[in-house]
Amino acid sequence: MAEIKIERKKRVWPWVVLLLIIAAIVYYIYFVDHQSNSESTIEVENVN
Amino acid sequence: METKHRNLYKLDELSDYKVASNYSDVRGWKIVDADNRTIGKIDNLWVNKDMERVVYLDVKVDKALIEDSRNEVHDVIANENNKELVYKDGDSHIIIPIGSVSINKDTKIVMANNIGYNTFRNTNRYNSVDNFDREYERRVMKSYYPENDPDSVYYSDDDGFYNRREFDNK
Repeated sequence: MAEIKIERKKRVWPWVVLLLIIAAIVYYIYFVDHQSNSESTIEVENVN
Repeated sequence: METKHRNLYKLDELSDYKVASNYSDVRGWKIVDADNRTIGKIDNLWVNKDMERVVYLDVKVDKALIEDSRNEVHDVIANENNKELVYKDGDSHIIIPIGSVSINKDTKIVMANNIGYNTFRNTNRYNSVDNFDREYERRVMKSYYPENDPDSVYYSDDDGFYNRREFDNK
């Protein structure tokens, strides 16, 4: 005879938020930090 | 008694629940009796939230079956006051315990194995807009299984009511 069980739907939005946070951190480390390093290099070249 | 007090909900009402994987979502499927006569279409699933399983199929009864029952003088059944069953317009739904059916995933047809067309014709229907009470559940169970002795479980007001083979609680 039949049986049908039910289950809670898995929530997707906490994973989306987590991915956005990781993406923001990656963006900060690789782009913002890299940009400030480039500016420092230019200043050094000007002094010489 | 409200259905909410019995942890009974239509699955459509529970937005954070779904049919578990490996089980069939039979909503929209046709239901037939053991002789392949059409009983109706499964409109919804009544679930017990605490038990996390379906306990009744909510069936919109086929028009031909409703007409058949209107044209017939019913035997006095399933009514504790011995009054003849009276159907109002809009009473077009019945509940069928999940343990009373088998599911064919290939044909998408649900079969009520041990309940015949005449029993469905004589079973008390309800209006899907309204909820039903425990007394309605008892009347339906007595209609489907008149041979069962009304043991104490039938009179249970809690989830113990569903701890029997008709609900596939093995």
